[in-house]
Amino acid sequence: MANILNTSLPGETMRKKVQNAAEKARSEKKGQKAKASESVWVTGEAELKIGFVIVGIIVALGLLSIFYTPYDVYEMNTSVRSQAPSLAHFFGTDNFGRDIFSRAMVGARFTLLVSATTVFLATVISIVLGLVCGYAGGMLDEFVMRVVDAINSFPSILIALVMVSILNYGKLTIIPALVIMFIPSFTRIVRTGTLQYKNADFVLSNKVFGDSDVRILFVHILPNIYPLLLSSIVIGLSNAILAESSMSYLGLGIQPPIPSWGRMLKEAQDIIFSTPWAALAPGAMIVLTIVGLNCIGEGIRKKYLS
Amino acid sequence: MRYFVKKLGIMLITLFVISIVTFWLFHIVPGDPAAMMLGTSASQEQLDDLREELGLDRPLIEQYTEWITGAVHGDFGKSIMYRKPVANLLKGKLSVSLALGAIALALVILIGIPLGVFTAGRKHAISEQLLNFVNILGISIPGFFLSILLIWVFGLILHWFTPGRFVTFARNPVKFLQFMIWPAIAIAIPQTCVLSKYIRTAVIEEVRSDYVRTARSKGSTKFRIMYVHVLKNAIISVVPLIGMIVSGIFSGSIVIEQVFGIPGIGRLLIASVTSRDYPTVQTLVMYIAILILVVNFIVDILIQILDPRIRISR
Amino acid sequence: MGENILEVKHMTVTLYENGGEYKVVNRISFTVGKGEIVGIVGESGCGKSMTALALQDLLKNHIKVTEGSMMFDGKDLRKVSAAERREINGNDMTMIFQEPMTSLNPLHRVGRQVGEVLLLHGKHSREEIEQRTLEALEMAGLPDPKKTMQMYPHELSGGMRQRVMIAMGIIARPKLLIADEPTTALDVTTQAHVLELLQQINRQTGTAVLLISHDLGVINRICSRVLVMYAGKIVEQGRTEDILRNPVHPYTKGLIASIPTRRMKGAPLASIPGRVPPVTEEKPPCPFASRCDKADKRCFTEYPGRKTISDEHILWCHIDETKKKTV
Repeated sequence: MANILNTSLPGETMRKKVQNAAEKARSEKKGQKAKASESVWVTGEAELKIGFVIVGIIVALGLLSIFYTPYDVYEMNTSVRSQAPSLAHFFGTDNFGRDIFSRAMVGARFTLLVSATTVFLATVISIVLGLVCGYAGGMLDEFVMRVVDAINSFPSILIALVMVSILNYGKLTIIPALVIMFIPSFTRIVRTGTLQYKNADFVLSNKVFGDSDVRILFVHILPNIYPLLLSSIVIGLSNAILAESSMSYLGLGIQPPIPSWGRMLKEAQDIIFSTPWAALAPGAMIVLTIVGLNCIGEGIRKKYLS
Repeated sequence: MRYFVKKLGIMLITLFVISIVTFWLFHIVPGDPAAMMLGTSASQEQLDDLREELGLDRPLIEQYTEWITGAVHGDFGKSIMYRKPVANLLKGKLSVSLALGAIALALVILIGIPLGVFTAGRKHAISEQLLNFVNILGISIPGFFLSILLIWVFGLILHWFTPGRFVTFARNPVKFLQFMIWPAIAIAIPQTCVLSKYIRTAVIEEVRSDYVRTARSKGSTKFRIMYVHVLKNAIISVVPLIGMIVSGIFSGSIVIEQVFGIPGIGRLLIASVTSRDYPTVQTLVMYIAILILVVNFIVDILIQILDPRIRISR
Repeated sequence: MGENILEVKHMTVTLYENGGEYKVVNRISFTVGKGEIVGIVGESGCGKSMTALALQDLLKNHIKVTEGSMMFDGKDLRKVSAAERREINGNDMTMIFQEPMTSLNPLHRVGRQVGEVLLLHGKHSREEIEQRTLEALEMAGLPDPKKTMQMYPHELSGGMRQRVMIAMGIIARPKLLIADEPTTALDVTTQAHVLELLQQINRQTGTAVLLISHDLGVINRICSRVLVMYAGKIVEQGRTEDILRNPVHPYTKGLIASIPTRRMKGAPLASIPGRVPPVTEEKPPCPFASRCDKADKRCFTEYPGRKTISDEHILWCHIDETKKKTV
């Protein structure tokens, strides 16, 4: 009994908060008609637009690189070594005469692929873990949440480093290493959402009608958590890109000769005396992608969660 | 007092659990550490030698007991890469990292709080958007890219410091600081953005509260309301986040020590992960765990001291 | 009656929201005499608190006083500078709020919060501040003021916190004390004590009190005069006994009918049907018309003028006195 009380109370207050938020959002929408210039920022539309444009460009560049890059990515051409940015080479060339912009395009492909895979896997695992913990409660929930908190209190990069070192790193070790990093925060969100809805009227009524627990979890509870989860996934994606490029920078991520933004920055740093511009393209692309994703995340948060 | 003892007890238990998990991770999951350390080309003889040296031929519990007893006495085993005790490797490195972390934390707090308070007063649509954008940008720049930019602009163009030339504190404190301030800035910027955003939200929230109305009703000046009444309340609501910020600073410094070539534990950690120097990695993980736990303990105590509502019997 | 400490004339408070302007308080005029206790009564949302907050310049940014004058002790409060305003607030005019639980700073000791008033106004030595804080706490009826001074708000009950607020309100010996629903959040026994205390302070120090409440019973206990407010307007005012014995406005009657008395014990609580319209709603000239069972066409077309019923008993209603007597 006490347990039920414990778990349902935060849900209640949360629901109230959501209702309040919804009311607030509604009243804000009313105001929007009065002052249209201000309102796009209030509702998050502007952030969403900016974010999608930025991320869209980067993704497009990455996809384009499968079929076309301005120059060959691996070919070394000594006649154009260490050239400053020009019309022929937008972001210059490195000390081997490779076109930096072309390499950054290919880098986008791999960095985005690794990050997206990571976040996808972490999301799937977290959904199962969070739903089960939130719904079942009890010892299991307690145990999983303790572990989740413990992992969360560590510096994220340390977790990734430990994983890479014990997983005998190969080409793809970076993926499981990063997945571990994201499971705790995602699981927590799904669990909180589950707690919030598990005693909601519509869930209880479906229970009365004899729906199985699995059906209740995935058909009735999960869809309600999506908006909350979505913004976390987007923010998670930006963190994954940050983590992947950090690991690649340290030489523990995507392995050479495949270009990745982090590794390109490491190489750029080594030649910073002769070719300082080498850092610009990969650095700018990382920053842009993360800014874009953070904008989308902020936009979703404002638009759907207020 | 009982509260502290209890907290201390929980801390020690957590530490114990972490030590078991860490030990287990490095001895079970990778299979045979010796094989992994030596690679595929090693002969059976070499493998056996290393196993014996590492004590891998004995039962796990015995290994753990030996390791933990040694650790308590300051003996963390022998580094495989450097062929000397891990404790010797750490000498000097820990203090460098702690100094870096402390400078970064000081920057975060000294800039983040005033920035949050300052920006809380500005609520016009345009400046708010600008702030929001700067904030997103600050959180989005990877520390190592920021470091490279700092090295390029302030090191190579402006010559305010010499990149790659770390000077120990003992040799020249001024040059030490002149060098360390840059990596500290690179670590601090994202965390400052996070902190100032939280402070800003907290201040805006506190200003709306009833006790502020009371203070105005008493005839307090705006300045007094902000600095005598609001600020402390706002800071208290943010104190629990210090743990998260310190953890973020650690994350940042592990990578950024590498960029600036600072001989701290972050750099040692990367080197030992790369070369699979398990005893060293294991020790460093324990060290960082202890540091994190101590920080969280301090945060708990800080809340106790600052907030009379949580303060236990006097 | 003698001189007035407060004279409010045609005061209008406007709320700016979503691009619209709404009059929360609509051209009200009233006075508070020196040493008098005056009550303002009305349901929640009819502008009582806004009136009080306007007097202390504590309105939120999107709510403003847009019309009229507020003469306090010879100064127009709408024209004073920020510095003069700070000198008045807490010193000459103080206020007690509805929410004793949240109106004190949780991080400061009680003594410091009460003494802060003296720190802000005039030069007082530390010993003097401490001495007067002790006196104020004692006068506010707090047991063991010495110990209370050292306590934090969360260590006190709601009633004690309200007494602390009162101590804060009287420490500077103000000319006017505004009490905005000071007893609403308290239990019945504590309510009675707090009201007694306000009356006692009024007698001992000559501080005028403006008591705001939704409960005519509370007003009746200590106020000599009462203003009945509805939807931003004063609809009836007069001596408390006149209003209670001989109410004319249908709204006042409704309020009186809803006071529970011992005689009516067991009978259903009479109340006025409907609710106070939200400020954003368009209202008929007589704001009460839509809820009034005696309303006729006139109430929806023209604003009822001021009618004097007897000395000091004033009414704003179309209701016909002669007709009323025959009913």
